[in-house]
Formats: sequence, C-alpha cells, structure tokens
Amino acid sequence: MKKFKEPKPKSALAVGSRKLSTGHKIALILFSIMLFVLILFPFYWIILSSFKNFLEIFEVPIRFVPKRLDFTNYKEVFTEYHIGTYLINSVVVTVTTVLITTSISTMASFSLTRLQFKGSKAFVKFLQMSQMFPVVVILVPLYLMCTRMGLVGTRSSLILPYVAVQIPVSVILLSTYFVDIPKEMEEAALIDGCSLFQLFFKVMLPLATSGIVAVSIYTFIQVWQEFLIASSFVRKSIHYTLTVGLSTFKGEFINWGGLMATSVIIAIPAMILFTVSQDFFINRLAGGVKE
Amino acid sequence: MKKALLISMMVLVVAGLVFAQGASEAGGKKEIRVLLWDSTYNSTIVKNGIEEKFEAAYPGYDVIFDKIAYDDLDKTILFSHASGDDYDVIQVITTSLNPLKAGGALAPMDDLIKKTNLDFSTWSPAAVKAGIIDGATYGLPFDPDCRILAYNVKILRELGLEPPKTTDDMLKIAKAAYEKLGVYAMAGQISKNVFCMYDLGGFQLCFDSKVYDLVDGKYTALLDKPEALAFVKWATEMYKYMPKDTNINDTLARSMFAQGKVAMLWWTPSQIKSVIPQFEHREDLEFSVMPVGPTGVRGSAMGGYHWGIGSGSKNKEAAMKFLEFALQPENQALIARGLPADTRAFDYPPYNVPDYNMFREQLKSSSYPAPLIDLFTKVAETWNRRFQESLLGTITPEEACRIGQQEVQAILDTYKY
Amino acid sequence: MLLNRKNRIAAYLLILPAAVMLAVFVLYPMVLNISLSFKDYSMLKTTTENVGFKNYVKLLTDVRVWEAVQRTFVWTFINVAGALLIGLGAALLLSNGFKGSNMIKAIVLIPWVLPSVITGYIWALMLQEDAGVITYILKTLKIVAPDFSWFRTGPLSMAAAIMANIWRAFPFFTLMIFAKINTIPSDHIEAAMLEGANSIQLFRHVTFPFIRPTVYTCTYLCFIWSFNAFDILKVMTNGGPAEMTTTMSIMVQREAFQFFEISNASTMSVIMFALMISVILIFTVASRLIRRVKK
Repeated sequence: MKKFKEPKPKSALAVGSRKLSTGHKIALILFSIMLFVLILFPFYWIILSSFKNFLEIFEVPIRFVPKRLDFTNYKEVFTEYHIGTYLINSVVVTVTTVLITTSISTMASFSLTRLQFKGSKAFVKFLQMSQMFPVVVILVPLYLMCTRMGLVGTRSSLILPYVAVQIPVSVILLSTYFVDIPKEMEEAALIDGCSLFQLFFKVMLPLATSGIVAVSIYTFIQVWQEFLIASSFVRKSIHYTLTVGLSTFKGEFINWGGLMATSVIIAIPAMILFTVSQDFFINRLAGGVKE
Repeated sequence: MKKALLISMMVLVVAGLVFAQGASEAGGKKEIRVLLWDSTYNSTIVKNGIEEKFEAAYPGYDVIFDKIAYDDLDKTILFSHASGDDYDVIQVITTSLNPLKAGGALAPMDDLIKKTNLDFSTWSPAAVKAGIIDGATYGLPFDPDCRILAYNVKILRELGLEPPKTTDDMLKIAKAAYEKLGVYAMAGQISKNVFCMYDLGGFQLCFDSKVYDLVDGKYTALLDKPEALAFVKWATEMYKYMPKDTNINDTLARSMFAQGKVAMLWWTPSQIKSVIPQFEHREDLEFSVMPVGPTGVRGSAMGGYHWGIGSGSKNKEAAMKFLEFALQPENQALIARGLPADTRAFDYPPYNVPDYNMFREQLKSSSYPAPLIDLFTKVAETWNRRFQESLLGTITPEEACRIGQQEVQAILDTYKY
Repeated sequence: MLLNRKNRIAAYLLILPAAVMLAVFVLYPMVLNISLSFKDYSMLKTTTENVGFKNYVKLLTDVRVWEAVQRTFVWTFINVAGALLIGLGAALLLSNGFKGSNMIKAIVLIPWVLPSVITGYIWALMLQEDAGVITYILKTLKIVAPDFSWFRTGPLSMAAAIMANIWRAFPFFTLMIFAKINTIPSDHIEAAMLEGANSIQLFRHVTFPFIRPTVYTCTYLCFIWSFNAFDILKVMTNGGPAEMTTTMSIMVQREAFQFFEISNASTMSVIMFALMISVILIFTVASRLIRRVKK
C-alpha cells in the first residue's frame, strides 16, 4: 500500500488565521464554547440521569451534579435486563451488515460512477426514490414476504433487510467520493495496462478508502440504532438488539435509570468507532487527493 | 496485507451469519409457547416460579415464555398470526380482544374449556362476558383490574379537608390544593389515546355516562347526554389545577405523587405491588374506592388482560392445559398483577390480606368504560382529541360534546353488525 | 473509453448484488405497498377486496390529512433549515483549526449516535415544566413566566420537538461539509487571500462553491429524513396536544400499528411520497431556472 505523506492539517480558513483580529478570535472561542455546550449538555444529562433512581430523576430542585456515583442502574441493566446479550446481538448484526453493505455498495458505486452504462441513470433515480418511502410502510409487506421466505425469527433475519435498506444511501454517499477521483488516475492506470479488476482493487479502492470508511461508519451508526425492523422481525428476546432492549424499559412504568444507562452503553461503541477512525478519514481525505 | 484483510472480512461475514442463525431448540417434550407482557413476566411469572411449577405438575410439557413491551403486544400477536407462526397461549389486552378476534388471531375455546374442570360461577361476570364474542369464548379473564382513587393524606390534613367521597369533593380538594399549597390536583398524559377512557376519562362512569353504548341493538354515541356534558365540565375544571405539560408520562406522574406534589391520582391495584414499594413516604398514601358522582353512581373503569389461544397454534390442547393450570385460584393469585378474576383466588396469597377487600368489592361493581368492540381504539383516539381541546380551553365543553358526538357516531356507523 | 463489451458485462455484474437485494427487499415491498393502497386490507379483518381509488378519495378529502400535511411541511422545513445553518456554522468553525476544534470534533457525533428515542426522552425530560433543567434555568433567569410550559400548546410542543431533532441532525451536515472543506486545495485559498478577501468573501467565492454539492446532497437527505421522522415526535408529544403535532408520519404509524388499517397507511405513504417528489422536483426546476437567469 502506498503510504501518503501525512500533510499538515490544511483547512480552508486557517490559512489566513494569522490575519485574524482578536475580535475575530474571541468570537470564534465564544461560538466554540456554545457549540461544545450545545452538543454535550443533553448527553451529560443522560449520563447524570443514569446515576439517579426513579425519585431523583424528577426531583425538584434540580441537581446538576450526581449525589453519588451510583452504578446500580448499570448493574441492574446487565443482570436483570440482559443488556449483555443484546449488546452481543447488536454487534454481530451491525458488523455483518456493514461489511456486506459496504462491499455491495462499493461495487455498485464504482460501476455507476466510473463506468457509464445504459440504465445507470435510471438505477440512480431508483436509488433516490427508494429512500423516500418511510420504512414503516414497507415494513408490513416486507415482513409478510420475509416470513414466507422463512427469514423471520432469527438474528440473521435482520441482516438482509438491513443491508437492502442501507444500500441506497451508501451508494449515493459513496458516489460522491468516487466521483472526486480524477480521470487522469484512471487513464494513467489504463495506459499502464490495468485490467478492470486491477483498476478497481489497486487504484480506485485505495483512493476512495476515506470515503468507504466514512460511509461504513455512517451505515454502522444507522444500523446500530435502528428500531422498527428490529422489533418486528425478531421474536425471541434472546435475539433482541440493544435498541429493542431499550423498549423493554418502558413497561407500565418507565425505568428511567435503566433507560439512561442503556443509552450510554449504546452511545459508547459508536463514539469510540468514530473517534478512532476520525483522523483517518478527515485528514487522509486532504492528502489522498493531492497525490 | 490486502488479501488478509479481504479474507478476514469474509470470515467475519460468514461467522456473523452463522451465529445469527441461532441454535435450534432441543426436541422431545411438547412445547407450549406463551406470549406475555414483560411486566407480567418479570413481576409475577418469574418471582413465583410459575414455569417450574407448571413443568413439575405436567412433566411432558416444556413451557417457553416470550416477553414483549406493552406497546408491541397487539402488533406481535397479529404479525405472528399473519406469518403462520402463532403463539399457543397469548396474554391479550382486554380491549384488544375484539379486534384480534376480528383479525382471526384468536381461537374459539369453548370445546377446549369443556374438557377442563374450570368453573366460572365465582368469577367477575363482566370480565367473563368480555371474553365472549358472538356467543363463543375467545378469551378467559386472568387479570382484570379496575380503577381506584389514591390520595395524599398529608396534603389533605394541611388543607383541613376530608378524603374525597364525591366528585364535588375532588374539585374542592383540587382547587384548595392548587391555590393554597401550589400542589397539583392530579397528573397524567392527556395525549395518551386511552386518557379519555381510563385515566381522567375513567371518572366518566361516576357520572353515569359512557362515551358510547349498545342502545336498542345499535352502538350509539352518548356524548350528547347531559351526564356526558356534566362530566366534561368537571374534567375541564379539574384540568385547571393539573400540570400544564400535556405529555406527563405515567412514571413522572407517580414520581410527582410520591414526592407530594400531586394530591390525588387514579390508581390500579397492580400498581400497589409494583409502584408503591418505591415510595419513600408510603404512610402519606391512602386508597379508596372511586368517588360517587352527582347522580349517586360510583363507577370504576375496568381494564386488564385475558388469556387467549392463537388460532394458528398447533398445540391447542397443550395450551389449554397451561391455562387450566394458570387459572386455578391459587395460581391466579400468583400470576395476576392487578386482581384475579376468580373471587376464590382472594383467599390465597398475596390477595388474602384486608388491603384487597376494598378491591374485591370495587371489582363487583366495575364495568368497562365502553363496549369493547373493535372500533374501541379508533373511537378513543378520535374523542380524546376533542376531550383534550376542551381541557386545554380551545373549545368549550359544549362544543367538545357536540363535535365529539358527531365524530364518534360516524365511526360507530361503520360497525358491521 | 471503458465501454468495451467485456467491461460492460463487468459493469452489470458489479451492480448485480445491489440490484438483486433492492429488487427483493425494497422494490417488491414498495410495489406491494402501492397495490395495498388499492385494497381495503386491515389486519383486523379476514378478507380484503380491491376498492380502486376509494382510499385516495377518502383520505385526500379528509381535513385531518391536510392538517397533517401542513404540519409535516412546517416541521420539515424548519428542521432542515435549522440543521443546515447550525451544521454549516459548526463546520466552518471547526475548519479554523485552532485547539478547541479537536475537542469538538471528537464529540460532534454524539447527537447523531444516540438512538432517536433517547433523544426524545432526554429532551422531554429537560424541557419538563417542573423537573426539566432547561425550563428551570429559563424560569430562574425570569426569561419565561413561572407557569410556562413547553407542551401546553401546539406551536411550542412542535418547537420543543424541532429543537431536539435539530440537535440530532446537524452533526451530519457538520461532518460532511467539514470533510469537503478539507479538500479545498489550499492554493485557491491563498490566492483569494492574496487578493485581499475577507472571511465573508472567502466563503462566498471560494468555500461555498466548493462545498455546494455536499450541501445540496445533505439538505436533500435531511429533507427526506425529516419528512419521514417519527421517533422524536412520538416520544415527546405523541402527536399531541390534541393532535396538534401529528405529522403524516405519525398518522401513518397510527393507522398501521394502532388501528392496523394497513391499506390506509399504504395510501397515506403514497401520498407522502408524491408530496416529497413534488417538492424535490419544484426545487430542482427552480434552481435550474435561477441558474439560467443568472447567465
């Protein structure tokens, strides 16, 4: 694999940052703080609530800091509500879905953007339209069809519908990355005598890697927190994913503490995933195209 | 390097699919699949070892419980029926009995019942009747409940008022509590579609009024009656002293009640077992039967659950065996979250304490808020909109009743007799 | 240049898995859905029959459907506009590359990563009239009356849900736009700076033209999601009070999973689809006309 030289983080506006007045800088810092608080505050509230019991959550006057770091909710969530099982199910279903979706979408995206062929425009239009139907309405026909195919009732019954539902967006988003790859690269490779196969694997994929990673993460996040299909297609509670597990906290009596603890558990893997790959795809993007 | 990546990806995918397929169940015993509301499962089935008890009494059977969130119960029943994968035993929300039967999801049970030793003479007549549709039994009651009134004695003491016996008393307490102590009269989620039937609407029975009823063989909306107007006026007045948020979920309402911020609340017996233990100041709470309305009637709205057998079940006889077991008085007492349907069950723990005598009595005079036809939900949803509009003051109670009457009757006119 | 026969076969082969998956799991249910809109299928009945366009007539003449349509458009447009503005602003902020922006980059995804029902629950909790931290702060600072409530009136309930939804949606814009900004070749920027451009002119003439395709794609996707959005509204307001926040999405879900009137739900979804396509067409045509006029 060619190693790209890590470029200095280039940003559109930073080039002129030396010329920014102090007023400008103060405004930037102010807005940054506002943004920071805006993003984090609800999340902080979720974490805070996960340490409270049923009476404390609705207590007035409001406590901004937990009375004590009480992990009872978390313990309860794993022992009484089987979140551990649901976590494993979520991981398996999501990872498998992402891998399959990304493979299929990358191939399709490459074909649509780099190889103009008859019907590609129609296919793209179809992709755009299939996004517009709310999932809820294809749910019933989809469900009936899947049961006839014997696909309902196991964990894997989620994977195929998920893949199908994620393909349109994946392809659309991936296309924006494939389209950016300059034609010169393609032509250079062809002149060197590349076959289509080699073109795809040795040239296109590496250049679009950042896009592929970005879109995989997007797919991961979408599938990780999908609820409607998950709750309809899986019957046994040992097959539940985390989001369906969330709904088990809403009985006649919402277990807010458990709900909040589970939300934190749901949020963490996605956040870790993003942080780890973030440098990869944001910074690489700049360097990759230069070469 | 790339090849390794590719191969490991494929291995992951295959492994994922295989794992996701899940292991198949071991054969041998006769399987009985039971669908329950998870709250029932957690609070009674598990705690009382029902699975073990049944399998000890009937060794040839293996009972498997599936638990679902309340909101998904109907959906799961219908979907599993549509896919030919019906459950054997189903916990059915009583108000859903009719719709589910109309959708063909429930099996008629009369022939199966004849083979058992079940005797319904000591059961709540209203609950038994609710399970009989078009002359055949489609559901057996196992957990009816009714509404009772809960109130905070500490607040009443501060106001120098007696516990409420009539709906007028309730208004007096409401006004005093709100104006003198800044405490809410009651609290609930007015945007919930059964709010007009069970929550605040549950008091409509105290006014000798129902949203609709069977009149001379025809389902007729009764919102144009003076009793209905009296109720809506009462509710609108009461709402002045309730929180302004329209989305106060039940948990929040009970939390506020537990913190002494709400004076009175409609309550169900099931919440005595499940919710009260979480209160810090248990001694401030007291319960009573529902109040008496202006015409001297005391009404209590019934709800609860029935057992049904899936129409596509391949194990109906086994299912009935489970039901026969579950409906024995001592087991009903263990499994019911609200009240057992059989009055004999009150002789068994945990119902054999004086606390429950009041509910035993109240159950006898309870009734469902309106006939449980399959249009029940649609009517509730439609009327609740006008009910809310009256409470919020966007229309007057008179207008609400007038428009509501038209809309509800229009829905009832589509009923297929 | 790549269009020889061997490659054309390869092209179709590459598309094949995607096409098959979509045909089976998306196209077929969609077609089935449309066919259901011409029947009177309800899961609470055991028979169905074709009723032609009766469902469409019934729903298109129902005042409640048009009220829901109106609410859906209000909801969608405010959401998209808000998410776009905040998302774009955040992306520009981040692209300044100073120390704080790395911290923000790390957390900016949080709103998007949380399940939407949780977003609904936590915002409902924070805006609750007595126990909600935001309302509490507003009341303490006397910005609102002591008996203020977000969920008493339709417009305020809608505003509350929109806030929660924008909070959830803007990181998507931020991420995509920020990634695109990073690809602007720095010589373009240096050139503009040398010509004495200030930040605003820089944005108008260099940055924005570059990120425009991304902005359009993101807006388009956000429009579709917001139009179909359901979870947050359901959890925060349940379509209330008195159905004043019942959008078409909520109506469809109610028909499908509370009343089990599948055909009604199908018909409504086709109407929603038609509306969405109309809006998109109008915008596409309008933007083309504008471009032609500019020339």
